Amino acid sequence: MKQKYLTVYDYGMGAVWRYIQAESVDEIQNKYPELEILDKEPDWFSDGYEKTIRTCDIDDTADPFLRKMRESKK
Amino acid sequence: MGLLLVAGGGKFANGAVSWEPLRIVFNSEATAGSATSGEGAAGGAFGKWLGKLGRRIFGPLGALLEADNIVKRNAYLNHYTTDLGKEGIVYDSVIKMSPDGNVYMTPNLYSSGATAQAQLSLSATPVGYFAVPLSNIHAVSNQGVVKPWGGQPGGGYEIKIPHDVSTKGSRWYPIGP
Repeated sequence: MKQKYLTVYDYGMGAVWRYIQAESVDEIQNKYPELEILDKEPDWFSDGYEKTIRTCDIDDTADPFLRKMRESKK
Repeated sequence: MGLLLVAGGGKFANGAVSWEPLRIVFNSEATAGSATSGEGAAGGAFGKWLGKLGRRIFGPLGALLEADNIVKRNAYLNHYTTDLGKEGIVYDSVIKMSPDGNVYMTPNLYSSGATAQAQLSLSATPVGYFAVPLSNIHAVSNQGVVKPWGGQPGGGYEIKIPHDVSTKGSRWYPIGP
């Protein structure tokens, strides 16, 4: 059963955040090694901030950010 | 709160085209046009008049900027990112905070990703930058010269923004390797 994981791609001056629904941490790490998986939300997450973060399936095809990472592995 | 950007002098030794170093000073809206702290604050009747004019045209933030007569020169700050970061930013229409709770901006312009990486002490080489209108920036938590980090020398100028930054009105500029 898939669970929701908080991930971040930190490029230094900012970040791209996603909640990714996946079977496991390993599944995300294998598919998207560029992403860091957080075990809890940062302290500065204010009420409602999580709603500003996209939630997507690990195999989402609409999100160009995820697509780019998959393409870079080919 | 508003921002007051004060232009200084200087040019980068690496030849990169750049804005001069900036100094940003917080001012309350109540003091817009007659800022009392920081060099370059518009003082006296003339400054107040410019402030009122600017506020009428650009709002409180514009008042501060217009008072210093640097709106046209420093109307944008730059946000460098990788190819992957660009994809996420464009899709989300927002620049989201780093895990430390800040978006980083710089007034510096670099034509080379390697130079930007070195001077901004970035772990990855940027492929370009978003020029973001100052109107999208509502607060600054800190600013200063970038320190050496991760084997990079630093030396650029960074401005920490403690909120997500909209890309509305931003433009993307690719840079070389």
